[in-house]
Amino acid sequence: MKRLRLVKTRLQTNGLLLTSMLLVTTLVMTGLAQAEPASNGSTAFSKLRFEQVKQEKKGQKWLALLWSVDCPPCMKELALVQKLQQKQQNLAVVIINTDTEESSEQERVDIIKHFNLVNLKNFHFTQGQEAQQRYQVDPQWFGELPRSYFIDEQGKFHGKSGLIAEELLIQWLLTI
Amino acid sequence: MVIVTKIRSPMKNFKNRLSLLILLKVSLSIGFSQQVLAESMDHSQHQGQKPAKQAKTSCQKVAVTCGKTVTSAFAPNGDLWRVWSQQNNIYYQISPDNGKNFGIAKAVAIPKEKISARNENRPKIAFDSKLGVYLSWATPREKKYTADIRYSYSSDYGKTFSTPITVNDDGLLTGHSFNEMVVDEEDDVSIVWLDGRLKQRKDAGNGSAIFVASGNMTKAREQFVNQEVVNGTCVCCRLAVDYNQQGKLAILWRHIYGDNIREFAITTLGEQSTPYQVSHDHWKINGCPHQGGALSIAKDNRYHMVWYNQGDKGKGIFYSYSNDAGKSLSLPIAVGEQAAQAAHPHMSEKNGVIDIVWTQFTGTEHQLWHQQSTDKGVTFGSAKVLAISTKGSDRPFIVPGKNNSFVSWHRFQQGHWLSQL
Repeated sequence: MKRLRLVKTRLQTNGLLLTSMLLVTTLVMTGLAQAEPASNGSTAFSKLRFEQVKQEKKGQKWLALLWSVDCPPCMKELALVQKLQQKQQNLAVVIINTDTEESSEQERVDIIKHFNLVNLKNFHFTQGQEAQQRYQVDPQWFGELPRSYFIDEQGKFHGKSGLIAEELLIQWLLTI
Repeated sequence: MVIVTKIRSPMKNFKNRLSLLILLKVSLSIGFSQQVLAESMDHSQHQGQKPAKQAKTSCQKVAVTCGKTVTSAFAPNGDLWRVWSQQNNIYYQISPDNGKNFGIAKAVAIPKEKISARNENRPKIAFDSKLGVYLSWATPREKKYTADIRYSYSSDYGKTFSTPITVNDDGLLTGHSFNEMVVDEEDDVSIVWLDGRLKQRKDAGNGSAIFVASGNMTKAREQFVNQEVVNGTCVCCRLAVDYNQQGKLAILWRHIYGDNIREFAITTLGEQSTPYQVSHDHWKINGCPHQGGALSIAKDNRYHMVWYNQGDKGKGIFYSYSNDAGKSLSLPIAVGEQAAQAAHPHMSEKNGVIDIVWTQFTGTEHQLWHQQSTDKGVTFGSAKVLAISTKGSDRPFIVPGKNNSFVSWHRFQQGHWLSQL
């Protein structure tokens, strides 16, 4: 509220500043609204939420795995993550589902449950924003799946399309 | 502008700036959509501005806007049909004036069943010379990644449709999907699809197989006998089909070569035993590109093709033609801007003119692009933006008419857009 009041005061004094401040405030509020976790353990993807995850994970190696219910090789990669999770709890993996159809919502939930990946951080793209969100993840990525990002300690993204070899995942994710 | 400078209240000022921005945006949209012909008499098309939540509820009613995909085709009498799937029905609308106006949406009169309609998968429509209407689609089965190819026919221009049949004859609970359908001058209908039945074999390789089946609604003969075309194809990219001048069916698809090298290949049924490799972009991916190609065969039997790859030897959209059914190709021409995410190309040849459409994405806006050749594919004019979308973008398709070609582009919440090329 204080922030809003402050914005309003400035609105009255500086029209130009007002426009940009209001927009920023709206964006922040929208971002916060989107930050609320959705049901079934998956959170609606937003640029802000993804930035937060990137900040949280800075200094460690982690993996972002993007998948769709329409992608058979994605199931194999999810199974590999499940296998690794049995070897080591709290894997540094963030899972992002790219489906936005209402018809695939339940499938998404069932698949994540099937692979016992509910405990990992799960995001899903939102309807009408799939391309924007794909672009926010990586403007160089065209949507082919599965898509895996190996993010190093410096926060640098190394993207790879297609099913990842198990050895590479072990090497990147297992610390014990 | 005058109003804005005279306003004293900052809030009003802001609102007016916002209005101005919206106005500018609307003006821009109008500028782009001068060729818009496809808005339906159904006013649901104008609800494109509504936020996603409202759109969800509004899609309880029947409207093309609610379809995830739209398939269009011209009937021999000049009518333009469009079909989409909603609530386990296939709906159609007919336009008598090249898409300027459409009649009311009607459900195809068959029992409800699930219809695959998203991304590369969607119902197909075709016509014969006697105004017979042909529909085919994939219906998902009870197990994941399983489906059947379905087919129905109308001999009375859509008033009634035959009881749907399952085209794949293997009786297996496996993948049968990504169907394409064409009808030739003899009114033979051919359906091709990606088929998972060979995965059951011990020597099954990677990927799917292509199967074909033909029928004729006016001749008494055995219908839709399934024939294997090729094994080892990508499992998630649409097929492209056309008849050549000998009346043979040619198929273009994404094949898996060696260790997951995904390249386009072509074969003409009855003319060759081994397919020709079309692209050499070396895209190695054990995954789903979700991007098929397009094929159009001219009266001089020149095969025109477009495809998309992200290989280490070739990235983006490419166009090429072949005078010998794909055995040798012209030097591929790059189409669109790779840095702007040029993707999902479609192409069609008509009277020596080749039209290519594709989409690009700026980070906030989808753009529909078009490029044309008037010399049988030797050179192309400059690429132009035809339309934009901020909410979403289905794949664009070229719909050949009697004298001209049209582009069909469905946009999430914005409706179906058609324009003469």
